[in-house]
Amino acid sequence: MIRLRDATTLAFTKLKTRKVRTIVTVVTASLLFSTLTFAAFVAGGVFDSAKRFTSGNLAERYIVNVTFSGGDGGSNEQSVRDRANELYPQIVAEKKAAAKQLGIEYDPKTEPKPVEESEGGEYLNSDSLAARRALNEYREKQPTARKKLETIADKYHPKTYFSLGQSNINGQMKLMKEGKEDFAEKTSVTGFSSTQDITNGWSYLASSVLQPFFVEQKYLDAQENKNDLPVVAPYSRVEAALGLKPLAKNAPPKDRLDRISEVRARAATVTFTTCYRNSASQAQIDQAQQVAREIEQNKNNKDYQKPSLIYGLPPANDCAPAVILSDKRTAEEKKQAEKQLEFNRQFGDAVDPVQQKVTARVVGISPDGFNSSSFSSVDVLISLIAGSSLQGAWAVPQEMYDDLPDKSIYERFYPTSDTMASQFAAAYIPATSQLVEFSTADDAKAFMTKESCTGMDCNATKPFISYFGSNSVLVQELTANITTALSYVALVIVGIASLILMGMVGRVIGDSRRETAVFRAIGAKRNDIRVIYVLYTVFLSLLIATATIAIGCGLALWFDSQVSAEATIRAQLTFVGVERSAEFHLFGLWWQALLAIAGLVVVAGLVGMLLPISRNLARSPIKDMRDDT
Amino acid sequence: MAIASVSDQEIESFLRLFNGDAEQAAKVLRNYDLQKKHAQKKPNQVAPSGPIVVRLQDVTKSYKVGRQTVEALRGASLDIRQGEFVALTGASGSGKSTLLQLIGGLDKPTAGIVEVDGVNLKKMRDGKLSKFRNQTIGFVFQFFYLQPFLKVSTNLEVPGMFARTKKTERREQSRTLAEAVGISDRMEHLPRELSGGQMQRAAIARALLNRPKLLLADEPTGNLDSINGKAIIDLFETIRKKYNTTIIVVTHDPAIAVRADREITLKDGAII
Repeated sequence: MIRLRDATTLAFTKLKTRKVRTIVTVVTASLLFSTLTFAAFVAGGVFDSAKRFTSGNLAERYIVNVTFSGGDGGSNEQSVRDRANELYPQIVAEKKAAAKQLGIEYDPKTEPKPVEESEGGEYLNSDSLAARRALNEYREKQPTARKKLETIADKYHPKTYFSLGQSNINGQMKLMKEGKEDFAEKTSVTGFSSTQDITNGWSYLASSVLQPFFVEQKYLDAQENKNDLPVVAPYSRVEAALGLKPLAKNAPPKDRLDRISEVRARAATVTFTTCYRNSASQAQIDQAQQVAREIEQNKNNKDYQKPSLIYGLPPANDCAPAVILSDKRTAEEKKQAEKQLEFNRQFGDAVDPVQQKVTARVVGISPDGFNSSSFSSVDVLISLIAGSSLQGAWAVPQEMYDDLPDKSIYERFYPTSDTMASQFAAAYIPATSQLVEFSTADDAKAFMTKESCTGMDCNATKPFISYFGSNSVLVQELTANITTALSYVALVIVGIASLILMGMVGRVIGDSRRETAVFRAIGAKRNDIRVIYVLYTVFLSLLIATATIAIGCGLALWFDSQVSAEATIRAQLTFVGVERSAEFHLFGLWWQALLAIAGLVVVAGLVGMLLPISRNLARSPIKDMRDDT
Repeated sequence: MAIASVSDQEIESFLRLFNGDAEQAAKVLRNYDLQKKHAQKKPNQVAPSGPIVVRLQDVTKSYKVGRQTVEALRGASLDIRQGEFVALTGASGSGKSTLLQLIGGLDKPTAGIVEVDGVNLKKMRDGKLSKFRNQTIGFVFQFFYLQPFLKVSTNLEVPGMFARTKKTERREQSRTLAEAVGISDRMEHLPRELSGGQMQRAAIARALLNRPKLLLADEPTGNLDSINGKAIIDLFETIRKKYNTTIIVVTHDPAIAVRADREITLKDGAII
């Protein structure tokens, strides 16, 4: 067979023939393939930037978030209803005895039935003490979320389990703006959400998981009151607390980065002071406001009789209990009220007012959640890689909490049981989340793939498992997903490009019939001809690959210049611990992908060449020479 | 016919046949004269000495054209000896090109035997036949068929590339041959920078690169003017003398036929 060097010489000259057609083919095929190289360059930039920003954060850590659906918590269990019915006469008897002992009246008919009926069938009555007891008994017997997690995760060689506790705010919490409680402000009692504002609650997380979001230690060391509740707070809340007006979205990138630096530097000086009131305390405040309104409305009504006990609002900066403005009750009335209070205490109703000022000091900054109204493509892209589970979160670092000089003032908010047994929700109880860290990405991925529910099958035993924070598993998974997506696109493009190249190579080979005939006449074997055309196709393909990479590179650089500044800001907001100088670029070299694309171009060319060359070699050289003359 | 012995009227009426084109008329007369001389000088017979390089025995070649079968060659038999310069002549469609292609191993006979250098070409497989062609036979075409984007020097080396001859050796051979055919000063040029005659010389040099025993030329002067045509024939003579190469030329050109050792004329696929 002809030497490769000589075949190369002959093949190379073919590129010089039909120059216009060659250029059109190269440009057309290159434009097609450049969509792939563009994606590869952008993905390369994203991967590089992701590594740069996650380095020192949660990189090389394989943490997943496991969320067990709370489900109905047993409220629809027949056994619970049966137990509630069983407890009902017992409770009535207990209450009768207690009432008799205290000397107060108790009418068993007023005792709510534990099980009621509706069109949908029987249901537990949340007003019933028997129902609540039965439900608590049931829930206490259920395995804890940690236990359930260990059952499914142990075989995947977990490294560490972290609890993700939610604060237990059984009451209302209000932000004391400028140190004052706004009594007119209405807050909804959610108690479990850790988003939006600290008054909705917070989560307790291991410091090692929150570390990337901490502000610098020197700022923390300078904090004045070490007994304030340490919290990682969302960026925008810290910014607002510093009295900084949010910058416009189109503000210069430098200004926005300067703002981030300023917020980080000053964050440790920020505190959030709230006033917590349990339902009894809030009820007295509500009553004070209500009565004050009534008195005001009836100030000209001579028939109006003021209540015997009138509460008034406490000073706004104290978070104190409601004050008694007047108490005209008789001694007997007061005695009866005390007895009733004691009776209620015995049967579990929260009757003693509790209020408490809680001051949280900022020890870290979590990224803001995305505002759907200003969702941009960059946001989507960054959210893919920086989709921190802590977006918009308020979180207390567990170890910092443990080290507080006096934890007693926060104990009532600390989650006592992850089954939330003390809470009664008629239908559903909140989901509980746990974190588990693995030593390898493979273990983490295997755990996620095999143990996660997919949506409809999520329940109290089959959890939903997701990546926690922006860690290596996420980046690896992102790489795999992009690779898969690119592969599908590549298949389509290779198909189209093969047809184009088949046309081009076919025309060139067709035009070269006479030349092939001459080569055959002067002693070329069929294989010699094949080698020459294969090399020609490879050269053409490499030319296309080069143009493809050049076009893709140019487009990606342009794209990067358009979005890099915004992406850097978003990434700086997301990865709090990174250097100010770190930039997020959407241009980078992903060699493996680029080489694969170049290989695909060559494959497309060779596929396109097969039919024309086999046809050409089957032709009679005599006929081709004769046709030409 | 001697021009001096005819009258003016006869000349005028003769020229009228060529629409007054005296040059064309003169060319026809010259060819007529050459053919006449040739007919007197060259009997159709085998040269007496040298081993037989080409032997055809009762060779038939037929083609299917639509539903019809066309017999391009009918029972052709001939022997050509080493060093012979043979002209294949005949009218268009007489079968001379077919005969050349069969001798060159580019086509296979429908019946009969084609032997070149003692080898029956019909029995050879494609790969071996290519190698045999490369080593034993040189081809020269009417339209030269040089690679347009290769320098002349590289064009000359192409048969050596297929023979896997070392580059240094090929270069040396091509230089020698370029000198022999008179184009050594054009080696670094592209074919388009050469005249027709120079291009045909380059093609002849290319055909000779592997020192073939047999040189087959299909209308080698058909695309050249008379001066260049004559020069090419001179070159064939030189090659024959220098390398003892057997040369078979398909031609309509009586000037070649008259210079050949032997003229084999075909008519309707048969050697006459």
